[in-house]
Amino acid sequence: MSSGDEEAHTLENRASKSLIHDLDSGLRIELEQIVDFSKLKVCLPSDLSLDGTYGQSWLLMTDTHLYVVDVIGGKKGDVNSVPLQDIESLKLRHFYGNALIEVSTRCKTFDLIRFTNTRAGDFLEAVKVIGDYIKAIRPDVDLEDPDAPGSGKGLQVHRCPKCHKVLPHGMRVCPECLDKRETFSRLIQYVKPYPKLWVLTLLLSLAATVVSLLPAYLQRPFIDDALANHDWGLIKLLVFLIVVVHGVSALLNGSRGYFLGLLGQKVLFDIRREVYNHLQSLSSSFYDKRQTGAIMSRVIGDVNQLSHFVSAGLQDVIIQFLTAIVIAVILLQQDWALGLMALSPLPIIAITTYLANRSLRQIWHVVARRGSELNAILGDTLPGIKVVKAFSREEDEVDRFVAKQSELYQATMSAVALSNKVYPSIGFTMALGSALIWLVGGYRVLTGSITIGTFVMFNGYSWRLFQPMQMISQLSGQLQQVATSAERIFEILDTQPDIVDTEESMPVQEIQGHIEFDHVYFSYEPDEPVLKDICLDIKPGEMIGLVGASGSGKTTLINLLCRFYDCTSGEIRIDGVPINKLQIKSFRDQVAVVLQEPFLFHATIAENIAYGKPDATREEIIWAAKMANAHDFIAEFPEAYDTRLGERGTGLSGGQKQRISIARAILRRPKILILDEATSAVDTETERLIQEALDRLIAGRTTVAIAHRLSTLKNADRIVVMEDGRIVEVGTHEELLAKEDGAFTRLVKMQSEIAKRVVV
Amino acid sequence: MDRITHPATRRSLDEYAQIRYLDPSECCFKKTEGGFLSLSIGEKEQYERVDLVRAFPLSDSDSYISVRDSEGNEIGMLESLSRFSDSTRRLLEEELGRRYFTPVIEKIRSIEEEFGYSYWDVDTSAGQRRFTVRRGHNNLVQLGGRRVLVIDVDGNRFEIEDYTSIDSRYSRLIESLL
Repeated sequence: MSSGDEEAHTLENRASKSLIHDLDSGLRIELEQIVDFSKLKVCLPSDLSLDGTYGQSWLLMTDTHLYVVDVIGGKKGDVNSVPLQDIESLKLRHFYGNALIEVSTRCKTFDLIRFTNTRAGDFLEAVKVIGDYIKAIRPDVDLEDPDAPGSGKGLQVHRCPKCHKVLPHGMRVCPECLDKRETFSRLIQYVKPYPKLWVLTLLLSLAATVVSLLPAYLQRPFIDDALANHDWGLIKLLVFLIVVVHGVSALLNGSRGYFLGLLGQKVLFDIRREVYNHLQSLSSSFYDKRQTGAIMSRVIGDVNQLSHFVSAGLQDVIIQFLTAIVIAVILLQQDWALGLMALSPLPIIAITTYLANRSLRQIWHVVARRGSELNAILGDTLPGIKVVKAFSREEDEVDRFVAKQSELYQATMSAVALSNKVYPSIGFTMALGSALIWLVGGYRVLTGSITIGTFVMFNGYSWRLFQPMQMISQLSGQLQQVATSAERIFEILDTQPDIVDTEESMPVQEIQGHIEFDHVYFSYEPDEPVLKDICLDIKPGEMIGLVGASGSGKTTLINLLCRFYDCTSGEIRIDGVPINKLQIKSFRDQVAVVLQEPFLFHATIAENIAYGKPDATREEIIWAAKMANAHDFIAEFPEAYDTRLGERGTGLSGGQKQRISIARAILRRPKILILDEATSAVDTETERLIQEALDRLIAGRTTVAIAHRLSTLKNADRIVVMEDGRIVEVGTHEELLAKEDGAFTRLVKMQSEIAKRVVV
Repeated sequence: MDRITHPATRRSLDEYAQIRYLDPSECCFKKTEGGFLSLSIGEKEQYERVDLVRAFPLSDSDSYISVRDSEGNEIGMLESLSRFSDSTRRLLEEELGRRYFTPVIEKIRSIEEEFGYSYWDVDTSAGQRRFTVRRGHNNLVQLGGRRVLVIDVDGNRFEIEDYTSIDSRYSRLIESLL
């Protein structure tokens, strides 16, 4: 192929470049006899053969044919070609752990190529491209669109450019390839705003270290000069000096601790604020995939770890290194032979501590995990004790607990055993080093080559050496821990909210409440559409009741309308403007949501009602409560509107919580109301109060309600029946009931059947 | 269940749901012989005995007061005490004072904490008092700034105006109980 062709080919295929992968050059030469490479549109490798073994075959498409090329040992095997002219249909079929493309021609239907889910994304794209191409050359063929619109943004799996591993959802950096040094230098950024404080604490630390080395140094003149010469004056002077040194040391340590604490808290404050700020900006999809507890532990635990490291930890490292070096220099300079001897156990200690800590850390990991499993059993069975008793499973539960407990016992004991082997051995090694100094030092004192004072000082310093050594050998473990914490924090900070305002986003003034769903598709997971081809036109002020079995997509529809997610393809328009062109905040200001599970905050009732309108006056709050039939029960509480609710509104009944959340929505005076009606049973009187409140809320507003109550459904202007992600019926209550075999009729019949049985 | 769904009746429901703010010029509160409060509104409405309930007893105790009949049904609300004449206002305050009893703690003699309960011995605006407070459960509530509401095990309420300055010996303990 000439270079000119090459260029044309690149230009033509720029849009679908990911569909053309490079063939091995040998294979390409073999294939050039069959395939016209200048017209190549698709060239994708699969990773699975039709008979179910891993291997390679390629799907190629030119302007006339589809080719499937088997590759055996890097050589061309069977080649199967299908003329595009013959293709009647082309489908990508998902199975368990693999998928394939099924092709129908006029005479037969067959499996074209098979691949694992890893490659399914590319092939889905390819099926679209091939389908579009066939449609373009043969307008008469009616090819079905693949169910999931493949080019939608929710479907892309991002891979690390370096190691080609899949990046965790929403993350920009690959945890595998993350440069540890980069992590640390990023951490240092948090100290940057406080340079003076950092330098001050470092200087204080250094001074404290130097001063703490002085008392041992004073031992020599004390023994050699003062004691040996019976110099009472010198003794007094040295005692005075030692008191001063200890005093200064205490002062230095105290102020070092204070300023380090200050620095640590400032950094902690900054990181935590930044993380929480970012958490608030993240879209709902971030929270779907994570447990709240896990996020909370990051905001508290990991941030703590980080701030400790950035302030104290880092300085500790520096100081320990310096201490070790200073002592080593003093020792060697005093007497290099004896000095070397004192230093000799250090490598052994460093290595053993390092190795021991590594295996200990693993054991402690196991212990921690076993411990939390034990916790989990408790957390599981104690709240469920009634179930346990009802099925008389007490003994089994005890067995389960005991089994887990003995695992914990064994894990802990192996940690205890190891640590009690290692640490005494290290102690012994240190003692050996010390004994060596006694032996050689003692001999040299006898021969008179060193003084008693030098000997005592040596002994003192050699002990002081071991502490930094141990700390340094534990260092790699600590750094590892900090790096992990840092990554967990940075993962949050690096996650980009899916739903953000762009420069084109328009502020919303006052909307009419006209909602259009235009061929909306949505999927949470790639290739698994939850909503399919939703088309619905809701007029201002109209009330829509959404019904359907659970899992039919009702909640997802509502989530899209709140713009918690963006649709995968298609468009939702509010008053004719696409929802993603509206400024998020100003749009949500016009929307109120009453959720199935009313969520109340740990605050007063008044604050909870005014949550959607923090500047509401007291009069407005009372008005909203009255409208929601909540005023009377609120006034019965001793603190009335000032009553502080417990976490998640404890202290209120379910019906009361619902009415407060309705008041919250009423106060917002929304143009669009989204209602996820509660299924939970309340008594008839409460039901009436709630229904009345809802009626007042709904009046005059565009309302989309997931409805369970027949009364709500009767009020609805239109009812939308959903099944398996599609809208199957739309109409008024009467219209739908008139259809004898309709989906709505079926649902209603089913419900009344159940109701009958319950009554019986 | 027969339910009301017509738009017309819906409107009347809304009207029913409006808060009725009582016009100070039409209200005539009087003290009865038994020491209760009676109310007449205009010419027609007469109530032998009414109760006053504060909507915001902690954050705005002199506004938004619900006036209820002896059955507990709301007759209407008073927007603010300040809009009444001095004499009526005194009458209302007296009635509220009967219903809302929150002595202000002026001096702390001692607080001892043991096993989740704290034992208080204090001088209040209403005299000396000993009481017991259970730890947690929102029993010490910070009312904005340094004001603290204390609720004892029997549901009595006390107020501390500034917990940081009332007694340096106990301010840290009180803070730990909040």
